[in-house]
Amino acid sequence: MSAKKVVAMKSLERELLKLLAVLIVLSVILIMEKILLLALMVLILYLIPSKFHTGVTGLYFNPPSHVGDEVVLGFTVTIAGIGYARISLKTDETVHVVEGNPRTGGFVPLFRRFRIHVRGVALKRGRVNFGILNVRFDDVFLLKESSKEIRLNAESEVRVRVRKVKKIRAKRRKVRDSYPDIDVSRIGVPGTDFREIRKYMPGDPVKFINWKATAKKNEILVNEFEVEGKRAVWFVINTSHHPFADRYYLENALETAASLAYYFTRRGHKTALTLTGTAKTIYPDLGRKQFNRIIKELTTAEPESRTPIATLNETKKLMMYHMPFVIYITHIHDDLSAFNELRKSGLKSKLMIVYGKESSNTLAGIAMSMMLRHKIRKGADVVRDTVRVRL
Amino acid sequence: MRYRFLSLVFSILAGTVAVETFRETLFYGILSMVLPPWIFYGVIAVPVIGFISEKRVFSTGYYIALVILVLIPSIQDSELFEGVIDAIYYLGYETLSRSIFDLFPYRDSLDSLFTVTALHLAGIYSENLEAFERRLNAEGYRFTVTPSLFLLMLTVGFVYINLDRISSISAESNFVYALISLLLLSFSIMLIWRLKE
Repeated sequence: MSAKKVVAMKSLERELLKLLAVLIVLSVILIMEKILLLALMVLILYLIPSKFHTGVTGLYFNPPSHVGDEVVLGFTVTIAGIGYARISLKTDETVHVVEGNPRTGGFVPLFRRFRIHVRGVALKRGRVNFGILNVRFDDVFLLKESSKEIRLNAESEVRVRVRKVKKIRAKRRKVRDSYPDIDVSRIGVPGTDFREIRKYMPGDPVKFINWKATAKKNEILVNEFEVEGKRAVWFVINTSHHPFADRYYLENALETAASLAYYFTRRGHKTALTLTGTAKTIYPDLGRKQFNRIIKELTTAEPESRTPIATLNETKKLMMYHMPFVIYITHIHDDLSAFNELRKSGLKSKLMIVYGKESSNTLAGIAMSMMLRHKIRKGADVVRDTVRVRL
Repeated sequence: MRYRFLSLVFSILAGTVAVETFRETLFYGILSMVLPPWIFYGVIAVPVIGFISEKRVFSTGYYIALVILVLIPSIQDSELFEGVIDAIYYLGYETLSRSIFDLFPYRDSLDSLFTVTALHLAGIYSENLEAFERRLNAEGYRFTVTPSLFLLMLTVGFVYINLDRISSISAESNFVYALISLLLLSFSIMLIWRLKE
C-alpha cells in the first residue's frame, strides 16, 4: 500500500486564502489586532487530519481463464477515520462491468463499511490483477486528500481464447492463391529428423515404437519425426498503433490468430508469428510447444508504435528462406502497404480483415463498408468473429 | 443549486447583520438625512444579482464591503484612525478632529464582524460543495457532502462560544496576537505553496 497526499479542492483553498489575506490586510491597515482572531475560524479547519485506515474482508473472486469469460469480484472495505471515502475498483482496462458498481463511497463518521460486488467480462490478457482498489479520503472540511492503492489477492492468468475452427474452406470462385494443404490427415509424411517421443496412438506404424523407452516407462511410446511436405503458415498480425484500431479489433485479431494457429498446428503445419507493433517474431516450428509459444506471445500482445511495413522489411528475409503461406491479419483502416510488400516479394499470402467495435454512426458505417469493399476486391477475407472463420 | 441558494441566504443574512450594525452609528444618522434609509439595504441586491447571473453569490468584494460597514462602529479601536485624528489635531484643526472623533463613538462590533465572517465562510463552502458534488457525480459516486456544512457550523459555533475567552486572553498579552499572526503567515505560505503544485 502506498499513501500520498494530493492537492484537493483547489478552488475552496483559494477562497480560504483570499479570506485570510483580507483579514491580514485589514488588521495591518487599520492596525486592529482583534481582526486576527477571526482567522482562527479558518485555521481550525486545517487541524482536522485526513488520515485513515483501511481493511478488506469477505473477498470473493471468480477468476476468468480467457478473454471474454465472466469475472465476479466482491469484497467489503472497512474504513476508519473522519471524512469522505471514495473507493473505486480499477476496471477500465481489465473488466467490462455488466452488473454492480465498481465505485462506492460516502461520509465516514469514525468507522464505516462499504461493499463492492461486480460481475463483468474479462477484457485484458496476461497476468491480470482484477482487485486493484483506489481509496481516496478527504478530510471532513474537504481541504486535504489522502489516497491509497490496495492490491487484493485477485490475480489470474487470462489467455487468448482458442475457438474451434470447424473447417477452413475457400469460397467457390476463381482464386489466385490456394490455401496450404487443408487435408484432414493429422500429420504429413514423416521425414528422418527425430522430433520427440510421444504416447502410442492407434494407427501409428509399429516400426516407430521406441522399445527401449516403452520398457522404461511401462507404456507404449513411439518416436515422432518431423513431417515433410506441409507448408509453413506464418501469421502476421497488425498490432501497430492506429487511431481507429480499437481494443475489440486487437482481441478479435489475436483470437483469430490463436484459433488458426491451433488449426494448422493440429494438422502438422509449421507455424510462425510476427507482431507488427513490437516486431516480435516466433520462428517457424511444429507441435504443441510451438503453439504454446504463440499463445504466450499473443497473451501479452499490446498495440505498439512500430509500423507494419518497417516490421515486415525486417522479417522478410527470414520469410523468404522458409517461403511460408502468410496470413496477414489486420483491421479495416490499414493502408495495406505491408500486405502489398508481401505480394511483391512473391510470398503466397492471404489478407484477413478483422472487425473492431461496430460504429453506431451511419456515415462512419458507410465509409467502413466502402473501405471493406475495396479490401475484398484486393482479395481480403472478412472475419467478424472467430466463431465464423471461413477462409 | 440548493447549495447556491443556501449561499444566497447566508449572504443576505450577512448583509442584513452588517447594515443593522451600521445603522446604530452616528455616521448613519447623518447619512440618513441625505439618503433614504432603505438605500443601505441595497447592498443585499449584490448577491441576488450574482445568483441570477450565475456568478459568485458571496464574493470577496461583497464581504469586504460588509466588513467595512461592520467595522465603522469600532473604528476608534483602530490605531490608524487614532493616528489620522491626531494628525488633524496637530495640524491645528482641533474642532474638526474632535468632530470626526465624536462622529464615530466606540461600540464593540466584533460579534457582528464574527457573524459576517462566519456567514462568508459558510457561503464559500456552500458554493464549493456544489462544485464538489457535481465532480463526484461525474466520477460516478452517489453521495452528498452536506455533513461538511453541518460540521462547519458546529466548529464556527464552538469558536463563537469561546470568542470572549479568547479575546480576554489576547487582551492580556499581545503575544497571543503575535502567535496568531505567525500561524496565519505560515498557513498562507503553505496554502500558496499547495496551490502552486
